[in-house]
Order: sequence, then structure tokens, then C-alpha cells
Amino acid sequence: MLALLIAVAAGWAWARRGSWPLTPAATGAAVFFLAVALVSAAWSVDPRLSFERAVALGLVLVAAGLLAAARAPERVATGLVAGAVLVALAGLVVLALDHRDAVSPASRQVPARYEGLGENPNTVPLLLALVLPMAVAGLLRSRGRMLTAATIAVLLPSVVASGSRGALVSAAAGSVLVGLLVLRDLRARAVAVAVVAAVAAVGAYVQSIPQPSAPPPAAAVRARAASPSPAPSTPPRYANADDLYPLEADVGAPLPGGGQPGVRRSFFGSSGRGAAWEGAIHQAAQRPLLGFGFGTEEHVFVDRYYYFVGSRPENAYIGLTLQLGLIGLVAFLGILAAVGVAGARALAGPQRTVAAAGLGVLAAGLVMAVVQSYPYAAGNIATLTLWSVLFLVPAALRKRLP
Amino acid sequence: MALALVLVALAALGGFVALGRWERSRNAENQMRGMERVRALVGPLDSPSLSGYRVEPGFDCLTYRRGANEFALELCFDPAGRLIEAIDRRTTSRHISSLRSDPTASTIRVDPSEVERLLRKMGASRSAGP
Repeated sequence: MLALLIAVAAGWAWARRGSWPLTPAATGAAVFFLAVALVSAAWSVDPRLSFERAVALGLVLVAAGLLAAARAPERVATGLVAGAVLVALAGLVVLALDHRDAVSPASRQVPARYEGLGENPNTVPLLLALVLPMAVAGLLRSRGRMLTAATIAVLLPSVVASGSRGALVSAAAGSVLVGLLVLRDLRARAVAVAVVAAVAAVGAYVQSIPQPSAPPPAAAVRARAASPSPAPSTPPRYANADDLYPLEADVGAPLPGGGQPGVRRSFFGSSGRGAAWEGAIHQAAQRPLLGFGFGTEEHVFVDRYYYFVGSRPENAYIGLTLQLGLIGLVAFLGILAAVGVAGARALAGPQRTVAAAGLGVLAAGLVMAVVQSYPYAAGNIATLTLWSVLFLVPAALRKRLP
Repeated sequence: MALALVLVALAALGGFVALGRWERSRNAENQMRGMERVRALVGPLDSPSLSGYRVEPGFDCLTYRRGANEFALELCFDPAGRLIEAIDRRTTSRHISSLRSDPTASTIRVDPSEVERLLRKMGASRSAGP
């Protein structure tokens, strides 16, 4: 699919006589980051995986670059928003056809959450959160407002129903920035910020309504306790530790036979992510400068955390440090900084709305990266969208539209 | 100017390869030092404090009792007999030393048939794993 997209985008860019769209700073930063990812195969715990993942990300960046080279940023943005709308609508079709497929059931800890077409409740909202700031930019233009409003009306409820707080906050952050950058009048900016904040607050309130499943009624527990139990048998001499003390719920669990330890609360409180982040940072510190090799995040990160379930630390900054160390993290942030600088300069030019939309997506993406490991994973639903929009930003600076 | 930048970048990448490999071996040494400590605390693998086992995809573990703590110490071995993880759970702040993601870097070895014998003695079966 990616190869097909590259071929189509290359043909399109060629037909429109496109030129390389990125600024030298953005190009240099992206090439350097990719080069670090590629050579990380030399010190990786899984050299082949690192090489393959680096090549895959390179193809994503090439596809994004070619889309930007076609010098049709509004059409690319419209296509990305339309694609996201289709994903959201497809989720509703799944909901209509098979409720169990579209909604993850409630557990004792987590309420029921809407998944739609996604693998889990956080999958699709990640994409929609990046697209919403672009839709808001469309809403602030003079034409096509009804269609854009309808688009937001399709995208936003999916984010809210998913219960993904990270997606809601990211979309709000990106949308606020778009409002501040597109609108020139101070009062209009204040109104835009207030509207986004109000919508986000309502969304957060709605997300808090579903509750985890209730424990069994006390009468049932009493009845079970009263029922005759089998005679106690002698415990076996040797225990299968996985049955009694699974490795994936080790850190934060009571010590075996030692009673319940006091839970040490960190800044991130009781969220399971806090413990996972702390553990992943500790792990990253073992190879702090260049990490364990690109693409090895799932391989290296071990979920040992009692209150956390996940195969990655769910924080892109920590995840990237785990893979490529602080040098890789700085190289990655260098690309984003180059895009941000180009966007800030493009705001003064004729492509103000495109630049603002791109910077809004950048802001949403940066916030989302705090709770999701995604911008460097070629297979992630949001990665291509993120880079396609980000590369439109320097393109808006470099080339005036015909 | 552009050529100079490219040369600097290439030199930096070459330096990264050396630095990355050094970090890898330094980490392996640190992790092995921690694993050696737990290995020494355990003593003979077939000690009377042997309390249980784990059969995981890619590695097997032996656990050892200390007082009421049934799984106070844990040693995990890959199929080649390399020690790839050691956990000290005698205090709430566990001490974990691990080369699970980089097992070939471990040079601490035991006879894999001894681990297999102990697993059989404890009644562990491969199907017990997930």
C-alpha cells in the first residue's frame, strides 16, 4: 500500500512539476534522524528489525514528502480529513452490525469504550485527534463551513465515545492553536479558545459518565462464602510462579507473603502509565545516549507493572529514548523544530491557513505523543497522516501555489 | 559548506556506531554484575530454598524462598543455559537485572540440562506456559 502511495504521489508531483518541498533545515534534520535510525542496526539488540523499521519509516517520510511536492496542500489536507471521516463512519457501520466488535466491554477497572473500526479504543481517536485541528482550520475559512462543521460532527463524537482523554486533550490543544493563528482579531481569538475549551469540557464530562462494571452483589458473595467448599488440600511443594505471581504484574504488586506494601504515589498518581514510564526511563538510562536500537521498543520494554497493561511505555518521547537514546530524541525533535520554524515563517505568507493547520496538527501530535508511542512507527494508523501534514508546512513556506 | 556538513554528519554517524556498541557492552556488564549478585545469593540451583518455577516462551525461571517470601529470588535462563534475568524481591523495591532483550550478551551460563532436570523435578511442563 505504501509503495502504491509513493508511486501515485510521485506521479502526481511529477505531473504538477513539483519541486522538493522541504526547507534545507527540515530535510537535513529528517535525513539525519533516518540515518541514525539506520545505523542503529550496528548496536541494536535486533539489528535486522532496526534496519527494517528504519527503512519503513523512511518510506513514510518519502511518501509524505512527495505529497507535499505536488504543491496542492489543501487537496492533500482535504484528502486526509476525508479519509478520517471514512474511518469514523466505518466505525459506526461496525457498531450497527456488531455491537461487540465496536465496543470494548466494561471491566472492574475500565468502563465500556467505543472502538469503532480500531484495534482498541485508543487506535482510531489517535488519527481523529490529529485531523480535528485541520477540520477546525477549514471551519475558520470563509467557504465550505457547513461541510466542515458536519465533518467535525462526525469526528468528535467518535473521540468522545472512545473515552480517550489523550485524544480529546490533543485535539483541543491543536484546535486552540489553529484558532489563535488563523484569526487575527483578539476578540475572535478569545471566542475561539472559549468554544474549544467548552466543547472539550463537555467531551470530558461525557467521557466520565460510563462507569466500570460493578462488583458482584454482596448477597451473591455471602451465598458463595456460605456454600460448602472442598476440603483444603496440602499446597504443592513447588509452585508455578506464573499462577501466583505473574511477571507482568510484578512491580507495584504486594511482595509474595509479605503483605500489601504502601503504594508510593508519583506525580502521575495512580495512572498505570506513571509506573511504566518510570520503569522505561530507568531502562533507557541503561543505554542513555544511543539506546537499544530503532524499532526495538516493544522488544526491549517489559511490562512488569501491576497497574499497567501494554506492550510499549505509551509515551513517544520515552519510547524513542529507549530506542535511540537522547541523541535520537534530539534528532527527532530537530525535525519538529525545523517544521515549527518553517510554519511560523509561513504564517506571514499567502498560505497562512495551511501553515496554521499544520502547526495545529504538530501541537496535537506533540501532546498525543505524551500518552501514545506512535510518530516513528510506520504501521501506526496516524503516522502517515502526521508526517503528510507536517511536511505541508515547510512546503507552504517554500512555494507559492500556482 | 554542504559538503562539510555531510562529512561532519558521516563522522558523527561513525562515532555513534562506536559509542552505541560501547554502551551495549557496558550495559551488558552492569546487568551481568547484578545477575551474578543474585546468582551468588541463591547458591546451588538445587538448593533447599527452591520454591517454584516459570515456563515462559523463550526462557525458564527458577524461584527461591527467603522467609515467608516464596519468590524472593528468581533466576531466568534461556534455552542455551544463559542467565538472562535475575530478580531480588527481598524488599519492596525490587532489584531487576535483565538481558532478556539481548540474551546473547550474557556470558553467565549454567548447564541447560540442570535447569531442565529441576523443572521436571518440580512437575513443570512446557504446556504450563502461556
